[in-house]
Amino acid sequence: MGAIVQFENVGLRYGTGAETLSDISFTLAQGAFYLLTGASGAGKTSLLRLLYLAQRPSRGLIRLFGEDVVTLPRERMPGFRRRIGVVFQDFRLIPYLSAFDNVALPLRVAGMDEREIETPVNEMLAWVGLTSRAEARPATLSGGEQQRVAIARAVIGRPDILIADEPTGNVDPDMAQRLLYLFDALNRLGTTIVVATHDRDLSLARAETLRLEGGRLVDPDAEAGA
Amino acid sequence: MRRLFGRSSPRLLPPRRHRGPMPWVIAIMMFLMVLAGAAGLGLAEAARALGSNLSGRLTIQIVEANPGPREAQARAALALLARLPQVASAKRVNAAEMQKLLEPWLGDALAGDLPIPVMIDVTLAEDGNDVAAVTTALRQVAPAVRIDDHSRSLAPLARLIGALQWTAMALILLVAAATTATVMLAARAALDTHRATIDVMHLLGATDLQIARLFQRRIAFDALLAGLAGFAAAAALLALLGHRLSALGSELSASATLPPTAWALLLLLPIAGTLLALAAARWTVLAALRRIL
Repeated sequence: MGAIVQFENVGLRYGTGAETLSDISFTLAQGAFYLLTGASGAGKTSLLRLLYLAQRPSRGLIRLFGEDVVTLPRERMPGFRRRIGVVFQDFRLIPYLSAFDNVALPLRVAGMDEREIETPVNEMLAWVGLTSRAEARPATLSGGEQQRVAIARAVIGRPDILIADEPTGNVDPDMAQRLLYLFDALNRLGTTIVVATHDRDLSLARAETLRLEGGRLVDPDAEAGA
Repeated sequence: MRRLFGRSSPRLLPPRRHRGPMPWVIAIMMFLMVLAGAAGLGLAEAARALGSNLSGRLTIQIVEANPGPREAQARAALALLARLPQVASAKRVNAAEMQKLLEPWLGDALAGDLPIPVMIDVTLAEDGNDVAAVTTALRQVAPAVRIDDHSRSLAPLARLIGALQWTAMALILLVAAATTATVMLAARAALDTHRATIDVMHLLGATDLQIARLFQRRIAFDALLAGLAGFAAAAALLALLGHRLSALGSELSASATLPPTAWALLLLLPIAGTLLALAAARWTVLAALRRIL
């Protein structure tokens, strides 16, 4: 499998403070499944922000889909972002849009014809078990339902890479495991998955683990054995 | 991308309960702009009427106290004027007309006892603008001649009208600048209000242009409604003023009324205002988005 993401000596500093991320180097293979673990404040969200192009690093090299995105012109960012699906920790659903319209948003952004949108959106809502809630606004959905809408929105554009920030943070263990199986099913269709979690009990046999501690990547096996 | 803004797609910005002060400000600005435009166009019409009425006309006076020489010079002058190629027509103002002209100042009794100059109304030929040549020729046959060139005597008034027209134009530009500033402030406020939605759309791959279109469409719609309201109010006021002005019955007031072409030009102001608002909103939003990754 080829590399879909490559980080080399990446550092991230907000303002003039200390580095939030230091000397991060790793490669993500296309079609693989990764768990990004670490305690709260370890830098998981910052690393994901670099991955989904919400932030440029302070130093280092990031290659995404084979191209250097550190120096990528702003005009080319949308094209890259459309290849990335993101499930935000706080979901970030548009509050005045229905579940259907929230899920349809990436397709509309991509310029898909309205007549071609209905079928895939309905299929996606069925996949996450929300067919009956298609017209509901986010405020009327439960936390778990909102999360599934966020997942449906992240995957409807068939992204090359799916990034989920603490998707299991606000759900019970059963739901967390079901979500993981959902991501696993998507991964089997060829999408590279990166799931950030501080839940040490969350596991998936096929998943590789990247562990962050104090803004640095550490050997997950060494940590497990400690 | 077109479909992001298509009729069938949902509103990506939330419906508004309050539109804020921008439409009101634009309506007031448009009201002032239409009044200034009407003033400019009305003055242009008045200047045109004044020019067509008075240009190419002279009034000749034979100012001679002695009746005999005065009559002789008047006849000589009329005979000369009839021959000059620069003159289209020349007509002596008769005694009754002179009496009527002087009556407001001199009264009935005095007018008959005073030596009154002979007056001749002259209309120059279309290509006969050489007033100096006419003057020279007249002085040779009528030494007591005085020539009143209407276009020269009315030049200060024409210059005043011209200055007022420029003032009206400057007012329109100032109001347009103020409208632009208002739209820019409104666009920035809207961006701040919808920052979370913009961030999400950016991360979903929306381009700056797609996001800018959402704002510019909304602001342009508000500007169009406000502009038409301002135009309607100004048009009503102008109609009322026109009615009052026509009641005066003066020639000047009649010449200052707006022709249909002027109304058509004024109607372009709300459309131009909408396009200006659209461009200002687009530029503001795009400039703000460029500061975001």
